[in-house]
Amino acid sequence: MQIGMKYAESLFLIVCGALSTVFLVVSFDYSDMARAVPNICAVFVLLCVLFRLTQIWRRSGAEKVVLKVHKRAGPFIAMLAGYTAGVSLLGLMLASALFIPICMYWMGHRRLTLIAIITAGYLVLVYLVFVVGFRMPLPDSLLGL
Amino acid sequence: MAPFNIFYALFGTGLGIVMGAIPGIGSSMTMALLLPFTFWMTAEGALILLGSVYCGATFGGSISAILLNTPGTPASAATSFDGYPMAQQGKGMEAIGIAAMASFVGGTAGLVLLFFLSPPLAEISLKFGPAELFLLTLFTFIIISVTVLKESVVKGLIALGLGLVLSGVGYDPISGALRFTFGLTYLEDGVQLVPAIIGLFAISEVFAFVESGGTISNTLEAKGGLYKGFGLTFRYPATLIRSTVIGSAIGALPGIGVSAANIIAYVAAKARSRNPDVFGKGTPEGVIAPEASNNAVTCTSLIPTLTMGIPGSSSAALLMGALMIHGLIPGSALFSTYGTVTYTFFFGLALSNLFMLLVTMCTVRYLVKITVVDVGFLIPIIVGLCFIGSYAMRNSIGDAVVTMAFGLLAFVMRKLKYPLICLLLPIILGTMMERGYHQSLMISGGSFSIFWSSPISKFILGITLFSLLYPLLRSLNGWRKKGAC
Repeated sequence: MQIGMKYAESLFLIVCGALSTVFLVVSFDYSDMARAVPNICAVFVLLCVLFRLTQIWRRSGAEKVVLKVHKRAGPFIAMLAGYTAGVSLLGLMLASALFIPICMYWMGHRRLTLIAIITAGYLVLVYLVFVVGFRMPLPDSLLGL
Repeated sequence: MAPFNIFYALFGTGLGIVMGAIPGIGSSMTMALLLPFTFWMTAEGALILLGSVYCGATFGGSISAILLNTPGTPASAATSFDGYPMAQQGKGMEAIGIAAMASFVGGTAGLVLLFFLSPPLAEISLKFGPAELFLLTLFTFIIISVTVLKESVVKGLIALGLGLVLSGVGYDPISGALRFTFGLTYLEDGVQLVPAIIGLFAISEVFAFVESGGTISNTLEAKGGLYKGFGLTFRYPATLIRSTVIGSAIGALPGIGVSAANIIAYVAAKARSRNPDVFGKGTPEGVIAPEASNNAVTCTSLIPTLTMGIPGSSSAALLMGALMIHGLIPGSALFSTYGTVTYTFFFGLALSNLFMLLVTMCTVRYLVKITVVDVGFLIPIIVGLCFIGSYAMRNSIGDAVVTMAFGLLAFVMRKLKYPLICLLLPIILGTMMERGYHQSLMISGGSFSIFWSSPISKFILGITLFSLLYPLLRSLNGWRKKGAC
């Protein structure tokens, strides 16, 4: 996927500017002391964003620069979101037991035995080091699995 | 020294290196987990074990930073900037050699300072009031924004501002008022440092792996070697000494800590280098600077801890806890009545520094093999470990979500060539800057003159203004020369 760098950066800057504006507006509910430094920072970001936007849109030849995003990036974001949700719902061990082989397969590995060995080895190691060794609680399943 | 103490130093260093290399675990968590096991030990044994974990973990974080571009601890964030490009060039072993030797030199120098200069350095650090600490953080922010991305200072400033805005989330450091939580209980404690760092550096690197595929090292042939790395460290004596001094000074000041020291030393090395353009492309100086400084911090951060009872870092606070568990109170008595315990502890730390080199020599050839493993196998394992690391500190799924969110933000910022370091530093130091600002004005009754009243303030203010004006003057000079031509 390709997108003009000029447009991609402008979108990022607009998001930064919007976030700072939200902080500025929300800060009016707080005391002078609580809002002083965050306000200075938010105004500083807004000024820098305006300056950078002017720089980007005034520069000639900026249209030619493109930002390339690999086609795997989008699905991977979805997988990360799925893993995060899976850890809360199924617990870390079960979610990892699903995520690791799926991710390896998706990255192009087809040796299922090797994938199974790595997944099992990882889970055993995590259990031995963190749960048995350090008695550290790992995320549990919300569904009681 | 009792044989058991030597064993504690070796075990602590080894364990620290392993735990430090796992993103998010780090020294303070390992020390916290070990603390209950030290109850039955002698005081010096407990201190040596925990101190060795502290030293080992600080170095261990650099191994994953170099080999996977995933800093194990905040102390190694800057090590990945040049260490990882070296690993990509097949020089992973050399980079680890540099990191180990620079850590050894920095740690030993810090230890010498701790041994001889604890009382006078503690007195100097007491002269740093809120105004001086505020100016020091301001100077750090400005110098990093100006130097890290010379082609576009404004990009650095935007990232810095964004970090400062995010550091405002949570309790106000002075009044305790809640701010910018948007009704979310999780945000009351602010943006947590460890999940943010794991997201910014580890998850964003995972995105890079997903896009690139293949292996980390672009060449299957290993170039250089551990001993070449050891030797290379001494080819840059100025960087080594400067970074050690920076780390030692920052360690002696309570509150700034190891997370900032490695970044400041890296930026200072880049600013003072004859070839600043090679930074970020795999120059040994870029590994020496953060590693010498972070291990110097580990030792000198014990100066305020042992002399005044003010811990310079969370790990130093845990060491102080171990001291108190064994009935030792920080202060002059530690160097007189309990001198045997204190100096045995210092000797244990020296041994730990030595063991760090030994462990590295024994294990490095196996560790570097990870750079020739297909990233398809590494990606889910790194994501899983990042998840555990960010969750484990506070047992909060929210921290893992923050890690993923910062990973996504860092992915976008890397694509747009915005410096991540400028976003990270305010998250580390933002609260300290704000606290310094308000406390200074409260002391002075609202007068801003407090920021230039003491000689230390004047000095910091002077170098801050110089750092701001120097690039401008240089640009003006360049234009004038072009005009003359």
